[in-house]
Amino acid sequence: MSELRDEIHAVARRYPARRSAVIPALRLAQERYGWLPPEAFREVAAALDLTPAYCKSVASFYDMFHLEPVGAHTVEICTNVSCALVGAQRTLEAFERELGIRAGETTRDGAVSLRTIECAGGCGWGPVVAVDHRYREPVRPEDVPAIVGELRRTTGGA
Amino acid sequence: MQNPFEGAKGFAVTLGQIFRKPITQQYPEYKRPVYPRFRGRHRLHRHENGLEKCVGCSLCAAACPSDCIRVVAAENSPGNRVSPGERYARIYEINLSRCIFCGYCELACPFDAITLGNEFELSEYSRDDLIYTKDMLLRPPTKTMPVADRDLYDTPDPVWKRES
Amino acid sequence: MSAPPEQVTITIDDRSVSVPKGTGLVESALQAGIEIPVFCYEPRLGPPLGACRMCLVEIEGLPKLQAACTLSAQDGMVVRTSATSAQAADGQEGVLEFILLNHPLDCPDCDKGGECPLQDLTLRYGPGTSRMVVQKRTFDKPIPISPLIALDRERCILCYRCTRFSEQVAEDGQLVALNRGASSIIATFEDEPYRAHFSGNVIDLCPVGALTSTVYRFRARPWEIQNVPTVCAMCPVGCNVWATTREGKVARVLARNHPEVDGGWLCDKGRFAHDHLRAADRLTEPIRRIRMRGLVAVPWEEALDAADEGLRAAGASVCVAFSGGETVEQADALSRLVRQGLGADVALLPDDPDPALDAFRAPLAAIRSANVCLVVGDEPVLERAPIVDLWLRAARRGGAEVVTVGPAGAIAAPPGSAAAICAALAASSPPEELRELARDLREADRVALVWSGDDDTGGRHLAGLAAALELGEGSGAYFLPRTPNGRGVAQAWRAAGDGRGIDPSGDEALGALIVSGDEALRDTRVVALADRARFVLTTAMFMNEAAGQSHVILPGTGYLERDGTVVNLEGRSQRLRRTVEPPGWDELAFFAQLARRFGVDVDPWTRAGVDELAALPARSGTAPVVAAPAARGPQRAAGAGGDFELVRYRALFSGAAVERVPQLAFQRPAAEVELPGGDASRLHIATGERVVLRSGEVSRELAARVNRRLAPGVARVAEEHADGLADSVRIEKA
Repeated sequence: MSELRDEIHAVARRYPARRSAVIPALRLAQERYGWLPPEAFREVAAALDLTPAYCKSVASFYDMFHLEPVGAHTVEICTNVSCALVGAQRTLEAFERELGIRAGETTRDGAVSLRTIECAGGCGWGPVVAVDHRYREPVRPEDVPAIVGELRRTTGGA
Repeated sequence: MQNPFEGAKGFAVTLGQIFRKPITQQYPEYKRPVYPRFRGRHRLHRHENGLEKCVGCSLCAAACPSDCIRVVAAENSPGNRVSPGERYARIYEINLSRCIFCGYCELACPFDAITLGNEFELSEYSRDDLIYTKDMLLRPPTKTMPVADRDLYDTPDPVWKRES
Repeated sequence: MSAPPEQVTITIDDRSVSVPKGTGLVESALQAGIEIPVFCYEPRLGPPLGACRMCLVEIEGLPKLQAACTLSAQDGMVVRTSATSAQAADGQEGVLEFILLNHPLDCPDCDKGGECPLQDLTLRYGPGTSRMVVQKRTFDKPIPISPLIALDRERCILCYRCTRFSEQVAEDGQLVALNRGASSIIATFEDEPYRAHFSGNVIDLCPVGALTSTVYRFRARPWEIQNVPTVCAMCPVGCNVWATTREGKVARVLARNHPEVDGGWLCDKGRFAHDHLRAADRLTEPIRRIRMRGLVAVPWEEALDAADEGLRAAGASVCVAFSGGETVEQADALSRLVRQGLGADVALLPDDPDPALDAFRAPLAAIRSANVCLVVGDEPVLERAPIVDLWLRAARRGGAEVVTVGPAGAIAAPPGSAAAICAALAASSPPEELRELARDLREADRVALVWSGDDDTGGRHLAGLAAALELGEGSGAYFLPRTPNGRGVAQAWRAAGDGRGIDPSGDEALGALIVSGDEALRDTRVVALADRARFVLTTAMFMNEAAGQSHVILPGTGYLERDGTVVNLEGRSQRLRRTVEPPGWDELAFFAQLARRFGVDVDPWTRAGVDELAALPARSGTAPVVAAPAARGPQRAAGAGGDFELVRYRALFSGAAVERVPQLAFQRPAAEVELPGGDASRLHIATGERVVLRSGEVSRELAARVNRRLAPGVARVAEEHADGLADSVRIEKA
């Protein structure tokens, strides 16, 4: 795992203080592990001369860092005001029905994680759904089966 | 000299009393009922599930004007759960030879764990025996004292006595 | 120096007060005799946070209530607190109602009940009743975040005092806030304990009962205790403490802020080690070795007779070994018994600070305002005098240049080279790697020099450097003694007389040896001397290995059981007050009695030690004293293979007292050896791997820990894990 350490060091060089690189370093660690297990915090901390506790406190503050394992795909639905007004709740329910899980859960086969997020900045085209960090907008309940099918296909092949 | 009739007056009062029915009560044989709110020996109470109401907070000891209560607390553990909270009284002692039965302890108690009962026969041959331990205080009183009819008095029972 | 700051006048609750510009509103109000209630505000924790909103005040010209702790006094400001402003009173009531939304009302259960700021402020500023009708938040409780601290998250009001202490004062970064907003919680990393030298301070800081001491847990309530102001005599800093007693026993020790010495902080050893007074193996009566019967408990008078007899037989061939934990009065009694009563002149002093240092005395707080701090020596400051480490950190945060020169320093130097470094820095042309530092030291207004090593000549070298730098006002030189009162004991010994003395380093028989205290018993030199002594008189709190050589053993006392004077590393005399009664006579009483039998009149009561010390005669430079282990020679070249120079340090969490407190066991140094990064990767050793240290016949297996700050060729081990190893070891994978 020394590569992660080197990558973090490379990123840290862009900042005046090593400590400032903690978010990009955590991002690198998350890319590697898919989420942030305790070892990831230990590695980041060792590379940046911080404590694992500090790294975890930073990661736990931000929504985009996962402290629990997530599925191969992520589906994130904005439920803030603009999207809620144009039916984000119904879209969410459609996803829950289609995937058989509730928001905040991962399908049993580990394929898809579903969760709600705060405003993603696509308010003009709500409801915004980010599938694997790519925006699909607007997503109506009737679009959901197609998206889920697409996700199932890609994980089935993998 | 005083008036000699003064002395005779006194004897007359005595003489008058001799023929009245005596008001002396033969105490050990006859026990006059105590008032419903009489404050006698303390009792510690348990919840219905058997746990002690006392959590060992020492507020009674703080309130006690004669400093006769000693509480040493300890922590409940899953294997030894004594009270509902985290803390329980490992030692709870009242030195009844110092107690003035003011009832501040029951007023201070946040859990109505201690009340003053109506038992008043508390003589012992040794002072040490007047230190009542937690076990003694938790046990129901062995002596039953006659209590006057509640309805004769219009002051209500205090809430902590009704509920404990 | 800068001109005195500009004064500004502000009006608080119709009272006018004039304060220096930049003073916080809370302090300004206090100066006017008005209290602004706070939870999260604590100036010692760095800049204000404004997390709790308890300090809301109305300020004329501002539309909304302001958090007073985050504002500083501006000229003409008109402030109204809840005393005169209905708006502020309403705001504070609302804040308390919010704080109490999730705070359980289990005050009778809670250890903080009775001394709880939340309880007090709710009573004074809060609403009479709660409108909360829904269930309060619940968590598992109590969570032991370390064997010393229990965390109750239900009670936490998220003032962030504890995490700010961890991050900004102790800088250990172990106690943090996880998550965000309403779901924030205080936590350590995963299930790891909060293992840091100063962890106990978060208990003091917590304004509610969320962080409580497991040692004090449920032992007493605030109305059942007596607080005795005394001084911690566990290390040479001499932090001021409150010792809380209940029913004649020490229940806890709290920090008592002395702004010049400790700044209100206290290490975990000082805070939690007090339970050793009640250890099961504590000696409570004198013990005498009787032929054919071994060690037998005897009455005090008989012990006195036996000691008298043994010392009389020894004549002047007597050596006394101090442990450095004695009070000045005890050391004085013993010194006068030995020097004046027995005519002997040899002592093993644990420390012998050089008198030249007296010219460069300064309060420890001066470190914080220094521009350049220099630390030399092999021992980590944190392990030797922990509070000094906090002052150095405060200095670094304040922008000072803090440079450590040593085996684990920013400027690497071989072990035992501290004296050479002082000399080099004092010289007119220092070597290349020290040139910049020497220049900074000379140019700085205020300098703090710290010597943290085992070399007794250190004081002289440090004073030499201080003189060369012409240290002035605001600067100081601090020699960290090995023992709590080493400085005072040495002074007392010197004052009791001077003379010829014999050399105890030879191998001829010794008439008698007096061993004073448990720490002295652990000294290998003392053990060696005891083998040669015909009579050994020991005072000790606990039976242990060297007690086996003693002929008379007296039960010793702990510092909380003594009245007397101790001298800390600054040279400050501080008064120890008896907190609890010792189990028997204390050493002072015994040695005073013994001295009387030898015709020396020693006052068995503690005198005004501070005055006494001030009147001590100047010491003569010729008094025979066995020096502590001599400084090691220049570093042997780090071998190409696995040869390392071994640096051992005495861990703070070691010694007789710490070993007897089970809750402190996790703080004791792990069985590991620190290796420099370069050497470790060359030998393919990673942190956590088992390695074997060999020197001659002795070998020890320890876990490796890679420390990138360590100089190449140096390995560092806590003293207790380096038993029997030589200064040069060979390290290889197990």
